[in-house]
Amino acid sequence: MSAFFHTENLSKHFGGIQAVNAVTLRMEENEILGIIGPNGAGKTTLFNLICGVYHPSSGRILFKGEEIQKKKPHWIAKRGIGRTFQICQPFKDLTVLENVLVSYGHSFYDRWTCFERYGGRPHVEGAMRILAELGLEKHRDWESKDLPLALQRRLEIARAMALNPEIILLDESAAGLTYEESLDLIKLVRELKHRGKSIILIEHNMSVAMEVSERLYVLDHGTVIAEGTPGVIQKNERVINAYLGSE
Amino acid sequence: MIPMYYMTVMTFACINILLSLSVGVLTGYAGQISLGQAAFMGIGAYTAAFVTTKMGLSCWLGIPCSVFATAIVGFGLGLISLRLKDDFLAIATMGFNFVVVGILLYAPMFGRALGMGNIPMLSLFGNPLSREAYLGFCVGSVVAVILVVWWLQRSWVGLAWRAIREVQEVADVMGVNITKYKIFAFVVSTAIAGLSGYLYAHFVLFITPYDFVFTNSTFAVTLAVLGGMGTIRGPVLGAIILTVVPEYLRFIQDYRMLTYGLLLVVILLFQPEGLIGNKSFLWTHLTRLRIFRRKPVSVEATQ
Repeated sequence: MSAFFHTENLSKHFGGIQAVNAVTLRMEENEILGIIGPNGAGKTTLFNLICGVYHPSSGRILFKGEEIQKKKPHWIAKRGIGRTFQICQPFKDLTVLENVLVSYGHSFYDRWTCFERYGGRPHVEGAMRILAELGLEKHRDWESKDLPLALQRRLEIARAMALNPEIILLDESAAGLTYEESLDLIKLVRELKHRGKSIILIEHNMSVAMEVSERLYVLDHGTVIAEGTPGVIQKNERVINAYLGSE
Repeated sequence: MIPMYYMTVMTFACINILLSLSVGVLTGYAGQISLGQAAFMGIGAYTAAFVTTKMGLSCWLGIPCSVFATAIVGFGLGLISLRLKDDFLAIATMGFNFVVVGILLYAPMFGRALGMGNIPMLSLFGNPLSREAYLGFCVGSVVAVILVVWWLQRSWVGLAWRAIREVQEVADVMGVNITKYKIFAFVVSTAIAGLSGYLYAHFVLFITPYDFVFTNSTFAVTLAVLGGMGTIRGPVLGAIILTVVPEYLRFIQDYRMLTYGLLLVVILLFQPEGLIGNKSFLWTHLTRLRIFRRKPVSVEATQ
């Protein structure tokens, strides 16, 4: 039986550089999966492949039994995979509410409500609910570029949530956050799981990755070198060597 | 009774407002640079002339024909634009302008360099419209286009355009079908430029390819940039200023393009948001006055 989400021998090369090499990973529904690895291991490229920014050189990506590796990013987003970015990329000149409304989305042919303000009242109410859940409702009229980093990270999650996704890809969401803010993030990720979302997160912050992930994949030079629970990964020789270097 | 001279200037202002709004939609909202808007105006104008002088159809039929013809070409250019962005798109649209002018210059059916004359004035029940009535028609067209653009920019379509303008790749990942909305922006923008061409043809009654050369595309961009991109009021004000002011500066007529170029550089250096763009010096000070203050967006505001 196929998994809820899985990649099969996924590879991507840019010219002579093999960024992702035969990566096979499986995720069950409502699981929190961590992806760790040193710089340049191919983690973000893997996310870009999953959400359709890049098309793989070979291999397959299956989401609920359907191949999605050749689909366009907006199609994948609508199908239920939302993401955040390693370097925050809010729509800077749009307000916080407008940012969320963009991904709240609208079908162009949906009873012409796309011509109502922001796609109609239900959309604005839905977006406001998401902002409230993430503690951003006070900032709804701020231009997103004026938000502090921690709130920009929250906005990115809000934007991903607005897609009503089944899987959320969090790309180093703890980067640049203080210890307290990281704790908030851990709480938020668990809250998302509690609401039935499946989460794949890339983390450089080991304490966050180990604390929140149920299973981890370790990438090095585009290849999966280890897989398992945080406890197993912490004792894995190859992982220690990849991070600290072998003697 | 308004003197003929003022009516002529006002009619040209209306035509320029439409041209400027076409840039405003495409570049200001959707972030797609076009240096070929004069070509679309030309396609609209030549379609209007062709429909009436060569095909003998009613000049009113020229409106849908001009708008539709330019929108079709805009659709094609929109398809091309999917593979291009920023400077490359600007260069491609500039090249498109040269191609259109080249076709008009060498195709016998369009009168080659001599252009097309004998374009009839708009008439109603057999009576040609007076200059006053034509001005009224132009003002009505401007109001209608402003309403359509206002309607679009406040809708989710406008939001999708602005997201594409900000970071196209992120908009795509956030579920915005960038292909659809970029092409739609091109179609709307070029249709507006086509309408301005139609109004131009039936006003001057004689058109040549030289009326739609690349320098006029630069002029169209200048109109929108001067007023302020990303708004409706900006392109409207820019077009009014650059139609009226040159009338008082006729003594530097020969240096007109030089002046526009300099103006564009100065505005981009010191007021990149334009004169009354959302973050321009003038607009930020004006909005502090109570009457201009905008209410924050809220759920109630959408009712």
